[in-house]
Amino acid sequence: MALLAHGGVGVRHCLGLGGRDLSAAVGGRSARQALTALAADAGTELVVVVSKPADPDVVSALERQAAELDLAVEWATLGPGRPDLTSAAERVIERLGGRTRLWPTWGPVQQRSPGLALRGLFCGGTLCDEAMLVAGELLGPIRSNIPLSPELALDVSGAGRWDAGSDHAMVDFGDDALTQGRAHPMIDPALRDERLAVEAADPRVGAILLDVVLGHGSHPDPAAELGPAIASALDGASRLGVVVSLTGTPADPQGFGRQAATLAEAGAQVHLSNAAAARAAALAVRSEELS
Amino acid sequence: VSALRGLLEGAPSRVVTVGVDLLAQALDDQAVTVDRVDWRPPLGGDAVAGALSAVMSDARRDAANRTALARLLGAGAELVDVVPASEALGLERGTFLHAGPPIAWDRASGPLRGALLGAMVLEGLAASPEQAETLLAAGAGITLDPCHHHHAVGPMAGVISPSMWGFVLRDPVHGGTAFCTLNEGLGKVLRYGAYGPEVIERLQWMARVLGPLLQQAVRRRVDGTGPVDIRSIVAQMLQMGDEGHNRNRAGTMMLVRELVPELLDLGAPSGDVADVVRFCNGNDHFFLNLVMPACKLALDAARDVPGSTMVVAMARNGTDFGIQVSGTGSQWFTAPANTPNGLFLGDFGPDDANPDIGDSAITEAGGIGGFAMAAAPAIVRFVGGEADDAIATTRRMYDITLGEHPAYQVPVLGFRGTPTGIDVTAVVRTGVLPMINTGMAGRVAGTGQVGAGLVSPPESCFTQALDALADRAR
Repeated sequence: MALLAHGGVGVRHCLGLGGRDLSAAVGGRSARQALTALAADAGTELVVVVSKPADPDVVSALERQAAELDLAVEWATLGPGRPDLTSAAERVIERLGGRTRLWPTWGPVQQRSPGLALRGLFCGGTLCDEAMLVAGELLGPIRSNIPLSPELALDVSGAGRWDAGSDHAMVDFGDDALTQGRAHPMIDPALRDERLAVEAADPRVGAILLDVVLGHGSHPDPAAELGPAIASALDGASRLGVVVSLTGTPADPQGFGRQAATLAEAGAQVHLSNAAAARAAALAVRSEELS
Repeated sequence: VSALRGLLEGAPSRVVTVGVDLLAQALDDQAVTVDRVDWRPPLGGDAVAGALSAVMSDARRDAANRTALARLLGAGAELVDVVPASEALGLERGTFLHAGPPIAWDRASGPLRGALLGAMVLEGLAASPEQAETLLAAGAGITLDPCHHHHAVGPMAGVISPSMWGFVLRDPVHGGTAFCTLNEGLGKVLRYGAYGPEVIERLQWMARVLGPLLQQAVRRRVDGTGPVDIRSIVAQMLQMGDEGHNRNRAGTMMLVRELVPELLDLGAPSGDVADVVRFCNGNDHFFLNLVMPACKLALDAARDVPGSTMVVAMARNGTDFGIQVSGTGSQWFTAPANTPNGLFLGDFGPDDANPDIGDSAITEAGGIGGFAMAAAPAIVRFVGGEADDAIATTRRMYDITLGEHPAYQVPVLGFRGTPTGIDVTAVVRTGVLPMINTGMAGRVAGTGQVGAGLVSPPESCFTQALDALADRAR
């Protein structure tokens, strides 16, 4: 949505389906209702379905429903070998007559530390999935509490005491296991910010990737807390880079420009595109130069 | 029905929100009208879930609560006699009843200790408070027992000794009887833990003059036009700005109005009659000691209905708060009593107040007192807060009660019946605790009253009761 807004595409409705809706178990129940409702909405020209890795049969059924409804749909469902969300956004923007290939970034070029580990500390599960897919293509396996495949599972149940060693790892702090008895990290990122300090102090870690999601209902000023945490993480760390994926638009109440500036001034490289952020973080620790 | 109930056809005109305010605020910021619903997880968190579902699915519950509530609402209360406690309750010398759940001397609070000291002196069991303290600490020949175990209730310390006179009330519907002492007035009085010479002298006068004259007047009235209908006076006092716990001004005047003709007709010395009328009239809480046994009668009628989750007693001894529930017999569910918040007399302040004390929360269990605060907006000048708080308090109590009282009504709420019959499951599910209007006793024995205010029972009385109900659920 933030990418579409940047590309000049108006977003008329945004309907949350639930993170597991396109799984085989749930079968796209929310998506079916949403497609029906959007088909009846005269102002909607194009529907974009965004999802974590989806069940192919569920997607096929939804494609058939969209055809029956005569509804134009772009699929931005993540998966190995599938386009990332930024590519999907580019496709949508072009289809609607716009054009953008330059996604904004702020802040300094980061330290390259080839051979060290990448850590992703995420509030958003879908952004975490996308980052693992993008970075995984460049770095190989990435361990996670929401792993892309079971053998990559990382047990984070021992509050703050997990250690992925020199493996690459990405943690979704919005996962159920980490939100017991506390607010979602988009609202209360304290747990994630504490973990940032732990990872920054680990000499095996060469790059840290973070997401910040703005909007109504999110933390009123995330950069005010994350900025100083980043500055202190980078302070004296000669082999560490910090990359932030900032999802937001100028209409968000937090002040998009100010959030980006605060994070960049703290020393992070900030990207509007989550895929670009993941790519930048992965390249910072990748052993061989890109051919 | 349009897809997604028309959600895409325009911004909703109203949104109901539950839980953290952040999301409601996000809607406010976008100029959407938000109705915030005050919902919290059940008391006790996940630990009560099993007990709650066991009790809620008890097949007997609905019918049992209907039975218990019908008895509570249908009970009558008539003043039939005035006698000493020795006669009414068969109390022996050396036995002292007290407010609240059972307690021994070693855990007794300052005001309860003070009242027991005074009662020892009054009964001639000790020559001085100091000697009384030694005897009570030793415990030989002394029996302490809750008023509630004897169909009796006592305000504040609630100490009843054999020579104290009191009212006998009868429920003509269910046949029950209840007893309560005569109210001594405010300030330095035994029930607030004072035991000085003036306290003892007043009690002696009450036993010598007040009690016997009231006895003759009440008996004359019973023989003439019949017993005084206390339930009817309670119904009327709520229409006149009383709530029956901390404000009993209209009730007191109506009782005096009923008894003065009989007193005048007794042929007693006019000075004594004048003293009696002056004493009753001069104490705005005189009628409290009739409201309490009236409620006690109604709640006793509702006891022992298997499966019922209705509270039949709330009482405090100055150390513990205890509740009893219809479906769990005479078992007490106790926890350390809270200290009221409110207004203080003279130079007293919060540090001077003892934790909650007295059987008078029987009024709230019976659907009046704090539950009828909306009928008595002037009460806030005594217990603190604004008149709107009084109305809000009564409204909130409907969330935790099983019904509305047919006779006790609140004019400002369109003569709606007061919220009556506290449901343990409703308290646990909503987290709304009963609101009690209460007097505050001084923490130190001998101090007397230090203020008045509002207080709630500890949550765990209700979660413990729920566990016991779950054990018996079918």
